[in-house]
Amino acid sequence: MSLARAVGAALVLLPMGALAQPAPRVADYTFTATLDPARHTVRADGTIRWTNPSTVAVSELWLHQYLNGFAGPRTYFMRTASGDAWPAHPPHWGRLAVESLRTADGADLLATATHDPAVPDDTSQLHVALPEPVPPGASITLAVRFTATLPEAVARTGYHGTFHMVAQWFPKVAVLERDGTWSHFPFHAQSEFYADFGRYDVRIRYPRGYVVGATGPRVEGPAPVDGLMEERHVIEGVHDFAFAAWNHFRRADRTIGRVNVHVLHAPGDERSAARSLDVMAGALPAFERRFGEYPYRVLTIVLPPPGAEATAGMEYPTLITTGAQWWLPRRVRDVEYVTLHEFGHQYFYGMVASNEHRYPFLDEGFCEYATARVMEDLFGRGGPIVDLPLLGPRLDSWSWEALGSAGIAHPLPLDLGADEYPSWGRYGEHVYSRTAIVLRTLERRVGTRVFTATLRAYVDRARYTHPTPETFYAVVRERLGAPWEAFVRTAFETSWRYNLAVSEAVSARVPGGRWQGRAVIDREGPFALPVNVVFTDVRGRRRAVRIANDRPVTVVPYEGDAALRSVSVDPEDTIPLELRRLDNARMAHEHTAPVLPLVGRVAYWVALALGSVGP
Amino acid sequence: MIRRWLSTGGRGGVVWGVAVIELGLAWLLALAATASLTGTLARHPLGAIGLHAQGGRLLGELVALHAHAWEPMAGLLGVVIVAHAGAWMLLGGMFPVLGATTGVRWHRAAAESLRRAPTLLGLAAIAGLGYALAGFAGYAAAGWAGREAAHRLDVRAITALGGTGWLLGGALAWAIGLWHDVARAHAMSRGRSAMQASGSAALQMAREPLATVAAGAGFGLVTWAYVGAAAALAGLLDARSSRPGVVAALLVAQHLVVLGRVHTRMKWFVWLGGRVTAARARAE
Ligand SMILES: [Zn+2]
Repeated sequence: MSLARAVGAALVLLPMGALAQPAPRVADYTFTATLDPARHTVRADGTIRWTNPSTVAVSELWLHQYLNGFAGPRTYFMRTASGDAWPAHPPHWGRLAVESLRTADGADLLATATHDPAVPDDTSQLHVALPEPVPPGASITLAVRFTATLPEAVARTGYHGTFHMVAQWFPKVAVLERDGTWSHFPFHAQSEFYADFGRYDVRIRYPRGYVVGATGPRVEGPAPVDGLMEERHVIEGVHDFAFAAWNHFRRADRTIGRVNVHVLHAPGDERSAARSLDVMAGALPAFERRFGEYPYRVLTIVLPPPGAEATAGMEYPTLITTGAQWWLPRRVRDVEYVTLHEFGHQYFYGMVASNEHRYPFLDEGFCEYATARVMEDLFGRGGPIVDLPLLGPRLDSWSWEALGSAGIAHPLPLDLGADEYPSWGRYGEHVYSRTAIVLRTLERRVGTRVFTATLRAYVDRARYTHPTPETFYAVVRERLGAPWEAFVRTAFETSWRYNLAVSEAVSARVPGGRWQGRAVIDREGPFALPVNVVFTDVRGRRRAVRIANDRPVTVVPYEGDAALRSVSVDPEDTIPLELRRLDNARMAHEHTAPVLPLVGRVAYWVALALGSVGP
Repeated sequence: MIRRWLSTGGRGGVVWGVAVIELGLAWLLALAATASLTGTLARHPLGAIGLHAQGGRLLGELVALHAHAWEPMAGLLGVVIVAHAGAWMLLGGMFPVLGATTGVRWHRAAAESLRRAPTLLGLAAIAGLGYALAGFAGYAAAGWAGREAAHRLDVRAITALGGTGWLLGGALAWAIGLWHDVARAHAMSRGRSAMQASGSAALQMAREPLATVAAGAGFGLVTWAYVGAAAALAGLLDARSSRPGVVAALLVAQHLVVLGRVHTRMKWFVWLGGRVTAARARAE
């Protein structure tokens, strides 16, 4: 056995849960946190140990206090929640009050701390001047005491009745990039988060009768302490910590591979809980096969109760919130889709920890691609989301993304910051749908196997780091070559509309009994991707012609012993980012008979409506 | 058995007539509603079958492309339904007349129905008032259920509560529809005024509650069974196969559903006619 193979075998044999490639420990948090469900507060104290990950000494810290986005109607979050982002403000505001922040020597850092003066009325950022600089690689430990007051459930966080989704509840150190610049930002209504990896050791105290689900495995408890219950969660290699608590939670558990999966749900929601476990049983191995190991031993899925829907559909390390109506038929895969998406974030956000504020497409868009990819792995061709036999047409995951991208009326680049998109709707259609369909197009062009290997190489390289688009472009260049790098750069960095259409399909009889004609293929947009043009004659015979598709218009001649029936361009759908597929095929002569079924169907429904007010 | 069910005692012509009128109107409206789509589909080699292709992508594009056409179409559909309802309000006595008598030609029945228009309008007005009350009751029940649901934890119980408003309103509306049918039967077969017929209908429903309600529910179920059967057939065939023969078979089945519904309505009024005649015999 060669040395390399022995090392390889040792890596494979690493104990369960150990990180094959250790995550950096930049920000470690040790808290004891007490939930008061009557006041909707979490009072906590403990330490933050921060290690300078950059190449320069720093004498300041930026902390994010995201919960202060809900501190009142004038915060930056509320000002930027432009109507369509989140429903009206919560009836009960929330806030994060840091009551004490000291160095190990006892120096008070709070006295001189400030908020970002560039953002008035907003306290979602805290600037702290350090008494002395922290050199590269050196650490500083801060003692902290704070009270988080949760808002009524809004934008992923808050309480409803006695249910509490405790997220963004502690002061979190912003990311110091390698060059010594702080990536800090005010909490914007369209933005998610950004933080550094570390170890979390959190003791959660709560009243008897409550059930808690939290980031990381539970290593102690629950056991009674001071009239409350306490449990301790410890995890490494993550960059956030959240927990849910409710005195009415029911739970369902299943071990999938090495991972203990827990579902916490409301009474009566057993069906959604079972469906969540069922889909994870397939999804966990599928994600690991495509995107690498899920290194944590635990996953908690929280289905928030009715009334707390604002906290549903969100990702935290090893804890996700999902939700769907319990009565939806099996073939409406709402809970499955949401579960896959939020679990996908364990990769694209969790381990591949890109800046969600600056490059939301790197987490949401890549995660959306991964969701559709695994939907197809689990549910067959296209990854059907809605597949109801009674309604006829089904809705596939890829079609869903393609339609979302095609619906973009005014295209913007995909690599904008979350706060640069002018509305929630325009953020979503670009960041989620268009990104996913660009990646799908790349997959269709280079083949699923090659693209999966490329994406896997990106995940492996970016694991436990903060990748930027350049990280991905470099992997594409190395794996697929410069032309594909140019393709993804154009697709992500520029505004584009792209469409192929058959604008003309004609043939006429020529002397000698043969038929001659042509097809005209119009191209709108930047990508010169070769495609097939398929001629079908009136006897049903097909002939394909490959065109370079490198000009705005391509004329393809037709010759045959029968008249031309129809022409289609790219019938294999190798460029799903196209705006329209309807105009990719065209009859030489219009035909009316095939339309009758549609008219008949509509007539039937109208007749039923008329009959119900009939004699 | 089937032959006995199919027989309407010589009233088959009117069943066909009404079904043809309803389907004709529906086809006219459908042609108008799909006019914007048919051009696009006629240029596409897949035709309407394309709606099932590519995992919903083509259908989605079609909907997006013609989104501007939906609103006027919905408006047109509303106008046609209201006009249709108005026409049937006036002709609404035709089925009761035919149901209560044998050997009356359908144009005679229609003429009689038009002659008794004031009575029929009166009954329709009373029924309309009833429907409004049913709506209000449903609304009030939904409000109560919503407040009640806020204190519940079990998601199934919350869903069930959410349905109570609809259920109560729907049940009331159905009972009023039943009463309206019975009242029309009394008005048209016994020459009663709107007020008299209302009373007679209420009296009959009170005297034979089980028979009337059961028959009304039975005939109602049959009308919906046709729709269910067509939907099940669509489930079996649709999207699984788009061969022209399959598509045509489904279309034929769906049109038979409309005919079957009209036929069942006729049967119901024949049954009611028998009851009303019996009541008259008792009264005389
Ligand atoms: Zn997401």
